[in-house]
Amino acid sequence: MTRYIVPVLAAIVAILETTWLSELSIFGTRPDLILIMLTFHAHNRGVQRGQIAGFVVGLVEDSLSASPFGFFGLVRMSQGAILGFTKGSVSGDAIFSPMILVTVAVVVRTIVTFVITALFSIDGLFDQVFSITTLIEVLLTLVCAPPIFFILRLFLRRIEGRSRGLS
Amino acid sequence: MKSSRKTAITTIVLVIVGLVMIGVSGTQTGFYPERIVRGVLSGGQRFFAAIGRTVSGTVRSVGELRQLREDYEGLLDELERYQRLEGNIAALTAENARLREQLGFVARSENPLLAARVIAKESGSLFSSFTINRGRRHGVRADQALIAFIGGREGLVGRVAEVSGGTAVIIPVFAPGSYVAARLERSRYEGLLQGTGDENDPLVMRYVPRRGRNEIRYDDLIATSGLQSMYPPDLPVGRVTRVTAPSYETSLRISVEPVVDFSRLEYVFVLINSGTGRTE
Repeated sequence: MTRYIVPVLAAIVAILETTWLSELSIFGTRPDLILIMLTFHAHNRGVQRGQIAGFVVGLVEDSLSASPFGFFGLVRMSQGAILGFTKGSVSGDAIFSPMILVTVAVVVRTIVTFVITALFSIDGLFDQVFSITTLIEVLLTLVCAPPIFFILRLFLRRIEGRSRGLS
Repeated sequence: MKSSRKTAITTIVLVIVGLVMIGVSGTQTGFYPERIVRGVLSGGQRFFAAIGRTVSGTVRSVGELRQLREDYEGLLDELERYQRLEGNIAALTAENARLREQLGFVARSENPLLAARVIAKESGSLFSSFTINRGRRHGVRADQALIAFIGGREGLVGRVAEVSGGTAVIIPVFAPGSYVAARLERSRYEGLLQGTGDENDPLVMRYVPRRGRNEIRYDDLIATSGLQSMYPPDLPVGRVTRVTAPSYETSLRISVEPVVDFSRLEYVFVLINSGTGRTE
């Protein structure tokens, strides 16, 4: 059960971003919290679970936004798949590791977004991918990555400890 | 090995499904799978939005309540200030009217007058004296006469007893030991007004011949005669309230009520040219 918690939380965050957090913005943008959570999940669970979780959460985002259905599904799936390869390979401090992992996720997101935009000729997205707003969003995401990783790690440890105690 | 093949197949399937969905949803509106997912999630969206509205509404209400309370307290303070101001304005208006009256009196008077304000009254009733805010610096000298103008009437107040640099102590006409040479204005009988210090019978006129009893009437005006060098003549002092002829005295005893209401005395005028010229 604990293996689904982070994706479920990410889906809830996706909904919250359309409701409670919709008014919250820094320099006109927000950190990509879903990207951080999916990166954490893929890094902990590997490629298979990472890509499935990314695809499902991406579809949730698609249904909540005006994007073509499957757009975020593919973007998040790619992130999950690539970051899944880092399972067990990147481990270190609590600050730089999350930032490095999130940087990789951002690069993957940018490339996949660019490819899908080009492949399906989606208007207006190309400029947004390489805009100042996106750069600020990336910086905010990088800053937010360590604390969110820390919180999720703490949360998972608690949940797993409790479920082990029950069994 | 089996696991990695499974992962690769999953990746390929997801990529294909994703690409197909993008392609299909790009060509038609209301893509069916999207409608299903959106339908499921819309409940969650409504739920969170309702909670958000409730929470933000409550927070906003608390903020508004706090603001209302601050506004209310601010308005109460302002109201209190305005009430105080209104009270001050009323007091100032009344004072202004009184001062105008006094000013008019000063302008009409033939004698040089020095306006003064009563700033203190003797706490005991032994001498019934009071203090004015004018003294030697302003030209006040001992034994100068003081008059007042209240309610359109002028009247003798008393005399200066003691003078300091900036203030002077006044002995009113009704004080014990105060004497004024006076005359009945209508019948022209002369006598001596004496202060008793008694609230009910503050002034008594003595040495008026008994023969004048039938000529003296209630409410007759009594003014200074000018025979005493301290007070100039024809300053109203009081009115007759009672005339008695005690058998043991050769003259009448006339009770007099001062024309000046000493209980409302605020401003007085020092007659600069009056007095005996005594210096302290």
